[in-house]
Amino acid sequence: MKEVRGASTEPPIVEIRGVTKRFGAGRPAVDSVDLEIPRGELFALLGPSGCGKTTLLRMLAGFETPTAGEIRIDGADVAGVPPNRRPVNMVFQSYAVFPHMSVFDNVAYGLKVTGAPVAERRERVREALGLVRLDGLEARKPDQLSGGQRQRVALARALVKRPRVLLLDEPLSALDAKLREAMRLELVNLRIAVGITFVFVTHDQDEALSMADRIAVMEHGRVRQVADPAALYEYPSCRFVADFIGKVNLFEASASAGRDREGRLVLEVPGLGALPVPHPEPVQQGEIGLAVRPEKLRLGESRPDAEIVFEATVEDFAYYGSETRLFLVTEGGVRLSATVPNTDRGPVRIERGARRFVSWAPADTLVLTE
Amino acid sequence: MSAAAGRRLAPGPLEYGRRAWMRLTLLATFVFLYAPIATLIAFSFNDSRRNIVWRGFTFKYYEKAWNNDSLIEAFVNSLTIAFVSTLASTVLGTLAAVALWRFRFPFKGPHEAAMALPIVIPEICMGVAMLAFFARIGWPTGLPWPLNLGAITIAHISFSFPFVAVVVRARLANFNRELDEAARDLGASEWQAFRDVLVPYMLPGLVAGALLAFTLSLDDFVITFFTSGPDTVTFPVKVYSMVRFSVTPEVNAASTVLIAITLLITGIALWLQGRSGARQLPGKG
Repeated sequence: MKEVRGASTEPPIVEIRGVTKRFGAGRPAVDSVDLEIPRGELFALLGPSGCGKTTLLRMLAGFETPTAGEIRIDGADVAGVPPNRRPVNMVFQSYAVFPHMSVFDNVAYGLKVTGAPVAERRERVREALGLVRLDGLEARKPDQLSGGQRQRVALARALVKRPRVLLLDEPLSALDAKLREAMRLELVNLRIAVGITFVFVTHDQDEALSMADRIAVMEHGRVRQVADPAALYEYPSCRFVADFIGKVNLFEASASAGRDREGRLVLEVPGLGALPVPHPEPVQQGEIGLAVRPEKLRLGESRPDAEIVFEATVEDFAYYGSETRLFLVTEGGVRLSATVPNTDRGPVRIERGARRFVSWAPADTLVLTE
Repeated sequence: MSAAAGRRLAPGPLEYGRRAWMRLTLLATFVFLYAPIATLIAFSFNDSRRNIVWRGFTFKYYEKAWNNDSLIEAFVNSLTIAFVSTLASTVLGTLAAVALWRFRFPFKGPHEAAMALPIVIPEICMGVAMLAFFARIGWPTGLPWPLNLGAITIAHISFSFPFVAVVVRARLANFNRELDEAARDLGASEWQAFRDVLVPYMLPGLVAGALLAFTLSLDDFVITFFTSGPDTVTFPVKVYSMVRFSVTPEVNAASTVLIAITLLITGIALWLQGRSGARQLPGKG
């Protein structure tokens, strides 16, 4: 039998070790980041604006030089390698399609400057344009293209170079909502078709969750958590990640009342009382946060048979078509938000001031110590 | 058919072109701008030495101007100087604009301000300064043509390249730096990216700057007057010396030719720009 190399034994295509980038004095834009991106992954750098995600991407492309640390691409240290000699290509936020060149010339540019023969150029451009479904538009100028088509040109132009890693800076932010949705799926399929590692930067958590194999969440230049989308959403490592990804009800526990008979942690939350949480790891006093996702909350008109249940008043609600979001206040004055899927047609049977019983399972509660 | 269609409607809120006062202002502007030029051109065909009363149509003075060797010499001098100074100031101005746009260096602000100085300094001061400068360094005189035009050409370059720099810099202000980065990312060296992306982007600015430099050089009188010698007379200086005796139709004829050349060059530049623009229009392939 042939030996099959498993994905885990293959060295990562991108290794980032202790990378720091400072622009003048003050907090570094990127602060000792360590990341490993395996071959063939669709990897997202997610974070609010100014968190350093774009700077990190630009360091991979070679447009910024790390102040400290090491970047390896496909095993080779790329320190001092200019952007035009790196085995990576980038799709820019503005797409940066050359306005004075036709679609063909744009896509062929990267092959032309490196001196590829004309016949090879033509063949590879045709192939790349087919990949992004732009066949037949070779002669068009960028100002005759729609935003979505311009993005495809930028994609084809980068892919035609057959990079080891494709970098995408906020690839979908300039498209309208409907097109963005469609392009998400298309980018994922494109990555599968070409088998190249994609690293993309986004501030849109939905985009990261729906597209990426793995996500690194960044804040103030640091990576807060690296995980696959489901783990990131259901098991955030800290308050920032819990709050940034999706919506969440966050409480601060005032004290731990120890463990109950089932070994669960019992935490005292002001206004909510003692809440049992399954959390086998030991915790330190005084820095424990609790989080529950709004869709994990259950609402009923009569008191359910549940361990964690509160009576609450509907303060406000918002109708979103597929779901309704409710903003409630408990007897103890604690605000909760809950999402209810609109599985039935018909008018929304909720009004401000209505009383509801709110309950959730102890297992749906997250313990956050950071 | 209806009453409304027959009657003229009152101008709408933004239909300024249909308002009497606006039309009057436009008319006045055109008269002020072009009446003198129109008169100049008309009287170049006037069959009269005194050039005050219309006496009939003739090409006589064009012929006379054509046969005036010193006038032709001045004209050739002017075109030569304009050509060389346009070329040099376009290159210099563009390089200055790119350097100021692209790099960060100490005293960049003062540097930029100092470069724009020739635009604001009164021409007479520039002229005197040039005269003093060339006298001080002992610039050789009496060189054979066209080397004897060196001093004037240098003076012209020094006052016209800041105009090119300003025009090109304005164009660069809107350049999307990601275009340059995209070229680099795709494998272009810094020079290739400059040649393939930045220069095509700057082209309208380059053309506009070059045109400006050309006309500035062609019709400059004050600075040229101070830097020219007896054997390096340019067209404006020559015309001035002719006018000192009397405004003959010969001067008009020569000026008309100059206007025609300027219009022709501007026309060519606009046509070139229009042609490069037309290739970007949809469906005209």
